[in-house]
Amino acid sequence: MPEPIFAAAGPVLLLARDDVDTDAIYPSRFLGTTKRTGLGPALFADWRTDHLEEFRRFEGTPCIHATVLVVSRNFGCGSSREHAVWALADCGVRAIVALSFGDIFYSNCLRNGIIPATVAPLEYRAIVDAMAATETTDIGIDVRQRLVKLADGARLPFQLAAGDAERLLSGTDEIAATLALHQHLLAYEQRTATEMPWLAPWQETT
Amino acid sequence: MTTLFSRLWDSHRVASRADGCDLLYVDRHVLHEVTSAQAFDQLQMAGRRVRVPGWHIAVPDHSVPTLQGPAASCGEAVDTLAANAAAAGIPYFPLHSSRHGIVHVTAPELGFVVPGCTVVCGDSHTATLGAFGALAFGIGTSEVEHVLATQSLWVRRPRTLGIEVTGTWTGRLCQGSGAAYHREYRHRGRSRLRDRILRQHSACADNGRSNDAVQHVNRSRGRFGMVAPDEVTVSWLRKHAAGLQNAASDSIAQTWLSLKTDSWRDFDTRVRIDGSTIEPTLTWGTTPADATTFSGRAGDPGAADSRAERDRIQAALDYMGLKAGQAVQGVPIDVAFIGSCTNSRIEDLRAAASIAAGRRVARNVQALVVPGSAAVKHQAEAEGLAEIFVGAGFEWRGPGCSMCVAMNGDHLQPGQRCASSSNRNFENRQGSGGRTHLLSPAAVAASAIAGYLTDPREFLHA
Repeated sequence: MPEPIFAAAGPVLLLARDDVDTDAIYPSRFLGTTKRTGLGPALFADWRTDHLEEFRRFEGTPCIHATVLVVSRNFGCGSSREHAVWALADCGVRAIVALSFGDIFYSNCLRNGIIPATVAPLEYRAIVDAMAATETTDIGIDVRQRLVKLADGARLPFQLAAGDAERLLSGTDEIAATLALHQHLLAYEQRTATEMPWLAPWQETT
Repeated sequence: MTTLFSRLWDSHRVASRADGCDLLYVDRHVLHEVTSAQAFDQLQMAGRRVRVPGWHIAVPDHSVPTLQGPAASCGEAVDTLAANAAAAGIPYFPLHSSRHGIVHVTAPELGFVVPGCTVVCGDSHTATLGAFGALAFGIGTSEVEHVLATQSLWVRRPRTLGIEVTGTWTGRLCQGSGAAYHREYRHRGRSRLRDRILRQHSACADNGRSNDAVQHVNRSRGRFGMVAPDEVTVSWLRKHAAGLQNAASDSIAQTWLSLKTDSWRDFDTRVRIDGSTIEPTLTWGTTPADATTFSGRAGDPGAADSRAERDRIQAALDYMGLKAGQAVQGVPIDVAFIGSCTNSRIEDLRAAASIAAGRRVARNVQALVVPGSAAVKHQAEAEGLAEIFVGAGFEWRGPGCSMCVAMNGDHLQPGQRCASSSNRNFENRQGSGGRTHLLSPAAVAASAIAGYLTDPREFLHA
């Protein structure tokens, strides 16, 4: 059952690269799992093996740990694997601040209670500069106010569609909400049966 | 007067929500073993059942072995899919079934995808099914759960991009993957575009021409893509789609043919590309947008317009073991892979076989051909294509995703360079440290024979 999400605050990890794809976030060789928890050790596994600068401080530990990721353009593009989001969640990530997100990845974040906060280039620059200048280690995210809160007191706006914010804040069970509309689903099914018979339930032929 | 996209979206909208999302009815849902186990678990934990089992099929493809011989165990994920499908009453097509294959190849063959339907799958390449005039898109596992429970999905309506290709077009046109736009393609002129789109409409390399219109396509990205059905589509469905031979009566065929955009102006954005100027394309770097022609060169950090882009190009060159501005023609390869949902249908194998006939794979190259489905494999064998490939020194495998996602034991060793007919050249995609170049099936065959990346057109004239 989803929980209400109001905010996130904690250690930040900066990954200032465009087009970070879900293969990089969660390599294919770990996709054989049938679980959705305990996936943390796979997060950025190939980049950690390559000793990427951004992950140096986690060397020797099984998992990366961060509460907020700050990333660049088109984060989470590519494959639809929700495992990427599950692995991030396992590593403590509760919010991602980005210039833009891959479409399916964005949707996967919302469904797993990770706040996808989209910022404009001006705000992105301000966050990255603040992190460099002050060696900021903690960042706060406020869903209701749509604010990124830096340690030096700066408050920077981010975008989150009203409906997406509402879903996070209320912790709605989306399936339950849809099933409450079952009369509409039934009406569609009945209409299809008469008006579009080729869309009838598919049958296997021998 | 509207776009085909709007017609299908509006006719499938069951309800709307205050946040602007629409509830779309899902006519067809395809399951595979990587993105379904957790969905069924969640469904069971919530005490829910599959709403309409008859509108789902399940096929394992990502992790199945492609080596011939007695079936080895496919692993826990495949066994779990089989068990979940059986418990829910969902038709399941296992490895070695005559109906097995990569989901996006097999589903149309089964007659499971029809013009005008909504079809989803937990795989980002689902958009390729838009080639049949279907509203087709990829979803995540939580969305798979929602579809199983409700036969519907909440989706935000995208903006639309109309792409018109003019002139005679013999090349390959693809799109990058991402967000924001739905795309519809149309061709004024001879209809070979439909052939290509039926085979290649997928998330893969953008055409690399430095043309404003194509750059716009490069940047627009798209979760949905579509081509209106035409006589080629209807004829293919009648001939190949099991179960549609009787249903595809003349009146249904006429209804399908009426599914088209009647107002091209209604797209939010429109782009026109001169098809006659599109040349065979390949990638040099680590994203599908890192593309050039065979007479072209790898990227040059010095030509980048920002420091971030300069660093990115250099990182891609370092990973791929190429120099800045290096000519792509003549770069030696270690592996050649013809396969994946993008390029493993009978037309793709014919194109590759026409290059391979009477020639031999270079000694330094391991070459494999993975047909997209059991039906494609059977047809290729009947047409003598398998014999051509084997005679030329290619390995002839069974169907599956294979080296595209490299989850089944077919993968590159660190540092190996692969000419691949798949759709993603991300770092480590085909194996840790593996270097992927994306090319057409004909170009992969030509490169396998030459032992290096090479323009396939040279072989056509030889």
